[in-house]
Amino acid sequence: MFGYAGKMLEVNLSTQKIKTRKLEPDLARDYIGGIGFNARILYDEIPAGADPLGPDNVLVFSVGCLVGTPFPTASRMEVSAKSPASNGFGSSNSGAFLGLRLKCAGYDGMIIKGQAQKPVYLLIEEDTIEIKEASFIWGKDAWESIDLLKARHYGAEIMLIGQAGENLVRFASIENGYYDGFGRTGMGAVMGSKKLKAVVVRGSKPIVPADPQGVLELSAKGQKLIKSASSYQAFCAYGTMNATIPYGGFNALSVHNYSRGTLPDWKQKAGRQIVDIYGSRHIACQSCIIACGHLAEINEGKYAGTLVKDMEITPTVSYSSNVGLSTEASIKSSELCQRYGIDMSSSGSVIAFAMELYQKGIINKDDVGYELAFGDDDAAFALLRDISLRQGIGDILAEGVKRAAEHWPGADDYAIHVKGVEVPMIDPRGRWSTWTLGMLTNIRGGDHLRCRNPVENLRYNENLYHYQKERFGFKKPMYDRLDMPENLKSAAIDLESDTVDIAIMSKWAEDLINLYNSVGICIRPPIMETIGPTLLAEIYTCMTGIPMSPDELMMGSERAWNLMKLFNIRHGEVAGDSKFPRRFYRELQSGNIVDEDKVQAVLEQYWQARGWDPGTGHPLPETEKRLGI
Amino acid sequence: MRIIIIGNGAAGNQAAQTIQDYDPEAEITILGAESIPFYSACALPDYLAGWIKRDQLFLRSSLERNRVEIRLGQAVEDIKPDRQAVSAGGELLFYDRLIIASGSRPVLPNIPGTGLPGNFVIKSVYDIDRILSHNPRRIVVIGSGNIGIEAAEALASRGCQVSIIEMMPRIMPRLFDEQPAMLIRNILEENGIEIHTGEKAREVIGKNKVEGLITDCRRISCDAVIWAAGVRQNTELARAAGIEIGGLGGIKVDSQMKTSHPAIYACGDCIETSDLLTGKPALCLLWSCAKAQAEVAARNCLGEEIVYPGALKLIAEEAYGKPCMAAGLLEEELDRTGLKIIEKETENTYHRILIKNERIMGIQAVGSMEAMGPLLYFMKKMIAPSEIKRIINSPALLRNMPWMLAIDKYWQ
Amino acid sequence: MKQKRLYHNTSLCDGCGLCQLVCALEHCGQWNHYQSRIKIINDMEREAFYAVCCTQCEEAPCILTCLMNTIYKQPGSDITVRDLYHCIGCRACELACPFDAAVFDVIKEKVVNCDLCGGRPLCVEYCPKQALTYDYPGDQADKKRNQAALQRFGTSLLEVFKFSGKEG
Repeated sequence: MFGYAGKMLEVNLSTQKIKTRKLEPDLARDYIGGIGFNARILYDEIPAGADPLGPDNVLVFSVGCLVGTPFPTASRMEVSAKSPASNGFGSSNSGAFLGLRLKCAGYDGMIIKGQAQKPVYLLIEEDTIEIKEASFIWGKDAWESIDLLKARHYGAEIMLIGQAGENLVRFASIENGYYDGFGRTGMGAVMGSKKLKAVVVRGSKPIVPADPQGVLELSAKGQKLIKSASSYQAFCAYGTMNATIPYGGFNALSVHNYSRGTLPDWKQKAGRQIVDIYGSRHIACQSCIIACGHLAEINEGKYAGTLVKDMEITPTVSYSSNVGLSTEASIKSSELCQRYGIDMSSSGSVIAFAMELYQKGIINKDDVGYELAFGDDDAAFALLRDISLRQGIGDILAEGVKRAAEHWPGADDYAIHVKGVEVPMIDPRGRWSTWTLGMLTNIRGGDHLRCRNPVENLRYNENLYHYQKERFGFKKPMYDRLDMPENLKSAAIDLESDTVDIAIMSKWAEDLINLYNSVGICIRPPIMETIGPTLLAEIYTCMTGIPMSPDELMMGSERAWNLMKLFNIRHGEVAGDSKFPRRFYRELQSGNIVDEDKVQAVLEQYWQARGWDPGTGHPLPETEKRLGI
Repeated sequence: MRIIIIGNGAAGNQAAQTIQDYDPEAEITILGAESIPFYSACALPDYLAGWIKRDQLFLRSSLERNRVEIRLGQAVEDIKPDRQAVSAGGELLFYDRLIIASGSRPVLPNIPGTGLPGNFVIKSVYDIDRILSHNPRRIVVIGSGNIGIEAAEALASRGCQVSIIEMMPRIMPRLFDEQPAMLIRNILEENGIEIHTGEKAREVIGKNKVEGLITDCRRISCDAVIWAAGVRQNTELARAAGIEIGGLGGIKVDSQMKTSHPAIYACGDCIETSDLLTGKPALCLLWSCAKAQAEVAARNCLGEEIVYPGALKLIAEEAYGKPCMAAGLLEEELDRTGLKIIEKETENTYHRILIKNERIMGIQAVGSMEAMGPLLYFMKKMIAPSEIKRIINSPALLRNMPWMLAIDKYWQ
Repeated sequence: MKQKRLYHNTSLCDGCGLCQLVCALEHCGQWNHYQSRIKIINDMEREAFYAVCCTQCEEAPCILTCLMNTIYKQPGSDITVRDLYHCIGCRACELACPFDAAVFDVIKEKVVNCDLCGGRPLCVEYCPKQALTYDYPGDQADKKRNQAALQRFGTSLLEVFKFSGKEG
């Protein structure tokens, strides 16, 4: 089989049986790879009503199908399972070098079933797979565990959980090496429930493309295209930190548990100049030509000696604005989250939630053991530790804001989540766009990474403009270069009024991002602006030998998305779940609240664009038929 | 200048190549005892196993035919140093300079039965041809040095049943210390090779051909015995000509490869050289040493005064896919005062470094060759480990010597 | 005769590994970036990426060590090349290389080295940050490096690159 490794590894930790599944050509062609494979496997193999932390949950890792090519940013891998946070489809994506290593070990993916009796780790060395006992690393943080494993297994890539995963914290992450991770939806807890501490991968088998010359040329073309993107230079220099100031200006930050939209000292704390101050060097993922990641280094003061990959907007907003910590404390928080193996977005949200409860008197010093206040880094880190180790009040907070709020009457008003997943980054009362609609339409729940206008402008903010449209903000050349089918493009973007139809664009953007997550490339703006299904279909065909048109490729992504929606419905999601936290509808922020009816209207437009029932959001029979589900 | 080279092996050919590179006008004659062109004896086990074809043994050569005369099948009868001539094939050939590169030959012990058909050595391509046409199924290999181990693996991979008999308490006793030797032994035994150490071969038995071997402890039935238990240097010609022979049995040469006679040089297996690390006389019968010595000899012949710093024992091996290497001295060859041993073992690799008085004296590795090249360089240049550490800790230097990083882990 | 060499600027390199991928592609037909003839080392402690690659020594020790006389300098271009037909994969040249730059090709089971792609190195073309360049040795930068090496090492780097292979 060309392009793919050709098989998937299946490990049942209850029976200790290990086998390989051949990658069926139909699965490859219809679901492409990465999240596509995960969608099909989870839909088929997890029974309705399964306990996410029980033995029936299935943890699947799949590598993007273009990983192994020099196509820029082809490095990514997706992990999915039934989420202990949302009870629906949980999924997370990560880059670095793990995906390539797993594919070079000979596997397009890995399926973990059952639960081990005692803590174990999985050793994958091409055709030799061993389940080894892990008592020497159980209970240790992720960095220490990696050091111990690296001493035993020279030259391996390691993914693992920290104490948060071991303790089944509902938003625990799976760490990917020291500095990267599969953060959201609690995949770490699923791995912890299976008592699987780590997966160690070594391998150097070749990946065989059908047309090596074609892949090489198309990769060179991709490189040129991305370098010509308007956001390329700025992104190379400052990464995602380019967006911190604009979002502060929009009053769209999550500040102090979404009680405010910006902070007066935001520019000093989190403007992109901090990359120059603290950033020491760029780090790229496999095949990446941008290298948006930075190593951050603190040389003096309270946190002197901290060295961690940081300078990313998401954890910065989570800890600097939501919890209100200083710049250096926020960098330190990244290290702690990596060590404990806990999601940076959710943990920040949960800590902010606890701090607001304390502020409002719903919990007090006796409940916590110490005082809590926004901006107090000692308190924040103490709480982070308690949550990761499930100590004291941490045991309740480890359940996530939705379930924790049930413990205290009135706490529900302060639980900022959608479908059990904490809302990160952006406040829709400050800025309404495809991104914020995406919080409701996202398969994962309250999340910001799977729905976003490929060319989001950061200059204009027509706050709550129309609900159904956002400002396009670019001229014709940008419109022309977007790789979308013509009729769809003209329906989605109207150059005359300089607007984007949010419902239509959301469907396209979600399918595009889902496609990226299937082929294994990154969703950074320079890529989203320039790489579309036309180029991807060409390189897919050269890589695998399977003829694929751009429309078929997008349909493959759409197919997987619909399947994930059906998964969510089967596991209990109803139409009423797709709504924002009460705070957004009730409390003014910068003079705005979100109009529930208007949101519902654009949501229904989106469902219509998707071919789903406009009343229930359920995929219609003709859509299922068209997609062949 | 007229130069005669006795021997068509590694040393002989390298000498000829060097002379030709440095003095294209020189007239060179190579006298080779075997009737076949230059080949590499190092590849014989690969040919035995069937991993390479016979013609791959014969090496590419850029010796220009019109300047270099190669006489095959011409065993030299004697050397006449006072007349500056050699006699070969009934002809008297005069020289301005003579380079003796006569090599070595394997020896069999003086025990009964070694004359029976079915006894083999591994030295020339004809030996392998003979083994292959004998088509043995059950073989005993005597000696577990480099050649013995490679031959055993080659035959085992053909489907034969192989046993190794080694006199010393561990295999590869002159190459590896106990721990790495044990690791290699495990690999071989896991793959079906029977190994007996601490035993000597006593008698080869059989009516008209080899049918078995008796050692101190047992009797093994077999249809072939391969002797890889030692070599003797071909110094008869030199001795007869009055050239001085060293205490260890090889032709004595100075650091410029000159023998006791002016105008006569020697290099390769047949000489006694000095050890690079200890400075003491040593025998180093390796292909790479031969080539290096030959180059020194050749250039000195032409009048350039360069010096040979000494030979370094170095072998690289592959035991069932696992690369192994050993260089320098063994633990037992070094006295314990000031001796520091660094051992690093992971699931699939093993490394051992012997350091004495701030000098790296020995390196052994099983399972991985990474960083061994640079380490070997330090050993040769006698650079202290503390120097290495200083280089590693200097970002500017490290930037230009990134290969140092791979070694870094040994000094933690 | 002077031969251009690959130079790697560690302050520009971010470890994306594209050089390894395209090298393996070009030389192996199949893709296996662990087969690349240029290796990028990630030094986490000193936060830098270093490249290890054949330096095209004038007097290459691998040529002298090869047990099958398979390595030689290409006449005309002076690039260190190998006649792989005769290589038996003994890996002695790996040990001879003081730069750890010889690579064992696990598919062919022979040892290979960077051959500068015959004069147009692909890794230089594909490096997105221009961290790899293709230049003549002995320029200003080399002189500075030699000074530093002389102080610490007691020998100049040019000496190292020249590498007299007379040691056995």
